[in-house]
Amino acid sequence: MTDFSTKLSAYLDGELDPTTAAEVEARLASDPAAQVELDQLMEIDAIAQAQFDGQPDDPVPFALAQKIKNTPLQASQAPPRPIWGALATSLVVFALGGIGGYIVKGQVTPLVVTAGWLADIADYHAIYASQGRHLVEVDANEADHIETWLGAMIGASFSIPELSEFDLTFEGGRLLVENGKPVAQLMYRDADGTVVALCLQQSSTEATTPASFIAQTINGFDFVS
Amino acid sequence: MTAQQVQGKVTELGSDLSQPLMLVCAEGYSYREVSELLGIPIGTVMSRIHRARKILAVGLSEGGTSRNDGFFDKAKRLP
Repeated sequence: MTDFSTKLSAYLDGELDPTTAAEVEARLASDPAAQVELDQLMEIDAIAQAQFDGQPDDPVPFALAQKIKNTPLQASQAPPRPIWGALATSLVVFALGGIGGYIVKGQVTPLVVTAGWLADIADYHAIYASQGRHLVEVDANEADHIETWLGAMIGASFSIPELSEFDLTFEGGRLLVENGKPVAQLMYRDADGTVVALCLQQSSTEATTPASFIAQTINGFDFVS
Repeated sequence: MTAQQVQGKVTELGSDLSQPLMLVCAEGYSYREVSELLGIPIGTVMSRIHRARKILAVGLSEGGTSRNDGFFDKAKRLP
């Protein structure tokens, strides 16, 4: 990798100071090979951009939505609460709320493997959910930043699900680390003040079949997976 | 090459390279912002983004054809 090659990349991103940018432009004007390389870098960006752009708009899987909406809630100290999940390729996604509640897990990681660290997540949630002013690290009014920050941390783009139809208001997000990997935790609160967390973690394998969902109970939590 | 294959190539970059690339190219963050966000020097951001582009070019060229005939053959010749 040449120094000029790296500068070309920074030039493409508009990150060079005016003097250096002028030097690069002069080189581009006189060196056809340099222009070809810049074109190639732009083409790579276009391909990657097309992929990145496709991810945030992936719809929430209908089967998951239906399963969550139709799954009866356990009688417990906490009032009934709707849960939602959103899936992106190679993400483990689950949600949990208040006492008991639900965990929704996405597609690829065997449940027996994940149950232990999901229990840790539940423990974290029990503490964080009791926080008032300090429920989240980044507030909901910085939603774009949350998507970028947590997306970068877990290594996959996502969009914050809109759950207002379930009377859930997005409160913000925080970063957790579980099972040796970052977990993006999105916090919602219902009208009764119950906190619901939607968590996303990149899985180690790719999904090979379309997602389908079943409900079961493990360690006191209702899983929809 | 399918979108899934492209995503696979991006994933293979590893988070050290894919995160800066994603933040700058997909999200529009500046190098300085990425530097602060990831806690790495700006020069490192610059070099990682460029390395990611180079690796991606080679990786994609090995995985199939592009929408631009001949592009990946040219990409292999990147210095």
